[in-house]
Amino acid sequence: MAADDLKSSVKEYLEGLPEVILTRLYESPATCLAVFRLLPALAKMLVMSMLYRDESVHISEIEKFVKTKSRKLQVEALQKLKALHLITEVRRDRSIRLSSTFRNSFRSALTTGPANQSFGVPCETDDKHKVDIAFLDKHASDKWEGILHFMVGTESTGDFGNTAPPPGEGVLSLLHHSGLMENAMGSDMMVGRNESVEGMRISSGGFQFLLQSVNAQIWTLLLQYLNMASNLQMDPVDVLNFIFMLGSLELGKDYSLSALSDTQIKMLEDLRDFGLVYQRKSSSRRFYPTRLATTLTSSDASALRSASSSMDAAINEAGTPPVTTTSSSKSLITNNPGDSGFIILETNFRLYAYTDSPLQIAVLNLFVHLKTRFANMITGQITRDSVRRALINGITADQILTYLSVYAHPQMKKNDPVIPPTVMDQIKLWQLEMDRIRASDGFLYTDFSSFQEYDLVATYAAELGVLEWQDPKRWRFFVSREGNAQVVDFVNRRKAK
Amino acid sequence: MNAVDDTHASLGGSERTGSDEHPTLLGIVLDTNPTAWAELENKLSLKEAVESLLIFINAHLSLNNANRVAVIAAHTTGAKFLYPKPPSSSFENGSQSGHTSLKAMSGTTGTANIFDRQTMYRQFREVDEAVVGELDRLVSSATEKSVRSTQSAVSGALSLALTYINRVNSNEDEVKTHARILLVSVSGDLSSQYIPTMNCIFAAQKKRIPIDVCKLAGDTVFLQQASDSTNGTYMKLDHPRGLVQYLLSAFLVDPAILPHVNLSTQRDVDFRAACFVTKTVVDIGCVCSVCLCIMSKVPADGSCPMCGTVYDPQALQKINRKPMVIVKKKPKKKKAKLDSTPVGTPSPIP
Repeated sequence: MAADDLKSSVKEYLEGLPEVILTRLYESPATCLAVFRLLPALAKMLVMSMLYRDESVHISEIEKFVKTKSRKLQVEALQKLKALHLITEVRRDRSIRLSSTFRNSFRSALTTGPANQSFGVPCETDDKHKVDIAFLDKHASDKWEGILHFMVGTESTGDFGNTAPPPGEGVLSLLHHSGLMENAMGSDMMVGRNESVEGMRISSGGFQFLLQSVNAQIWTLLLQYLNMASNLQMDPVDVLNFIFMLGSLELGKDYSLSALSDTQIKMLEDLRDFGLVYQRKSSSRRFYPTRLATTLTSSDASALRSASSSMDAAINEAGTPPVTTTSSSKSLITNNPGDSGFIILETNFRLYAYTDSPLQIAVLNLFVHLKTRFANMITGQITRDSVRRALINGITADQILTYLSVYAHPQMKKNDPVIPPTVMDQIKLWQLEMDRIRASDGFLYTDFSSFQEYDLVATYAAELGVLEWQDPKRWRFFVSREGNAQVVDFVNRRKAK
Repeated sequence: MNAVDDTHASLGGSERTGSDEHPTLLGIVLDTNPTAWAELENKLSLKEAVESLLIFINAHLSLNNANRVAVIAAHTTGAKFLYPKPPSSSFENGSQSGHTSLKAMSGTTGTANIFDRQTMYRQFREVDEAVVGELDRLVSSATEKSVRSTQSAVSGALSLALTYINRVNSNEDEVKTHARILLVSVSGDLSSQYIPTMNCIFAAQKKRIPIDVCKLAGDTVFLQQASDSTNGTYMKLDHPRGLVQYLLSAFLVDPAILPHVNLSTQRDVDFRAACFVTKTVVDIGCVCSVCLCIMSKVPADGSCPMCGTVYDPQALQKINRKPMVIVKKKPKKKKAKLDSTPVGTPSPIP
């Protein structure tokens, strides 16, 4: 669920870009691959079947391919493709064709056509200061958890001198700009030097941010980074290409800076602060992507594991030493689900969490009424008030439930479903209490001349999935804004007949 | 109470629709029968087919980051894993030599930089290098004898694919992985492998693993049944040269959208079976009542060739009875007899 949100937010950003920029983006095969993975399943199918066809495809062919009852999916898929400017429609004869830039780049991504450097250029020479994967994982988790710790306002002192210095200036201003943290004084004027570490406090958006999966968190920050980048006169195409390239790199390999543009080298510095890449010195001519970077374009959390083969993954996991600093403070980046679980939730809404990490406790505190704290665990209770407080902060029930199930104790994971149904339903019901009214923009259809006419159009709208509400008694229905054009089209076509 | 149940159902329902994209494990069985490929040479060479197949594999991997493949060659000498590579083989030098000699084998120049490793997505590169390397080793190890034999170990390769899928699925406990098998077949008759092939089909059916069959040449009865009974796609390509397009459009259907699309498959399926003894396809035959073994003709010793059950000699006699030609005389006689008997109600005897 979190992955879906994330996907849609990246997609929304891309859809908001003008066609010219998108076309330039599609010149990079790595970007094409990443964009392709964001598409819905049916759209992927359509792109694949058009990839090696030179002539355009008639809509009726697609209609034949998709079952009648799934018209809605088809419309959705075509809309997505159009919004991303992946296909162009020839109005005249109702056929579509794949964008030629995208087609060429994607083909070369699949076949390695003309040499391109979008998948990164590995260093030819050996690094004298070579680092291994365990080191990279530790580097990434230190950096990233440093940011999170900073956000919840815990000085991560204590265990094994893991004192993370406050994050760099770039990170601070990014957190501020994204609205994840705000100035305690409440003045928005203080951008730049005045952002002192003490003056910042986490916002409600920031709380929501904490509950997301690591992957989603990174994307949230990167999208904010993109927004900032355009203000700083950085080329969004360069920035996006670099982000998507990072997603296709290989963990534990060093890559050369030679293929990067100036913008991208500047970016590298910021990404280093996030823990996405590792560079020994800022003057170094090579960089290592960390696990945070290489899993960027994985669509689901499970893919945090190496996707090549489960066998390999199992061997690797057994082989690499644990990257956590202590056994109890859980690293957020451990990819073995076995040791990331620490929460036990009972049907009576009591919660026990085996953790002493201030970060985890702070996160739990967002929606749990904490009662007692022991050396290695805390207990608490989920109450209506504590959940409502979270909901008012903008956290959704789904986020809470996802968090609980992701970090469930191995013992609890054996249950099916993981979270007791009573608790799950109750949390959802508490959320339903909050939103009783839903507003949506759209168009109301009234004044039909007959019920048949009403029924025909309403059924069509329902098939497309754009029907928001209908009142058959009074021959009225309401269509969402996006779907209106198609319904109007349909009515006009009927009229023409 | 009912109201509570109701909300539960609706809440549960929304939960399930959330995650509809599961990773897929695709097992590809490539028939590498040298004789069959040689016959197909002018339509589509093995090299071209492998190129298309690699594009297809890459396309499959690009659908979802967690998607995986296993490639198995069904050669005349036996089935062999191409990817993931068997643990024993030292693969690095294999890929080096493999690259050049596969090209040399087909003798065409064409796209020289298939494996320009610098510029390829790492997931793709890993698989592609392994497949080509292993395939080349397989081809170069060909001997006079292996080329002679005409049948490829399709059933062996199918069982390897099935066992691999089973192993991966039982390892994976938290993520649900879909699996399917694609069989690229070129050689003709498989009837000698009827029993193992059918067993594979039943195993796949039970595990709900669809077997898609892409038939480039020849015709096999059982493969139609394989895709039919496992809900797979069977397609005999009319234009093998367009293999890429066929693969990308018909064989790349994600399980998530399977319920929403009309698949192009062959409707009429040949359901004939093969005789267990003579290994030929039979139209009408006998079936052992104990072990269900199929034979075109009951062996001379009057017992089942598989389970050894001794059949009732009288029944055998009935089966083995030559079809009798009805003598012309007989119906005449009958007719005459019929004529002689009075038709209608016999008159009461006084």
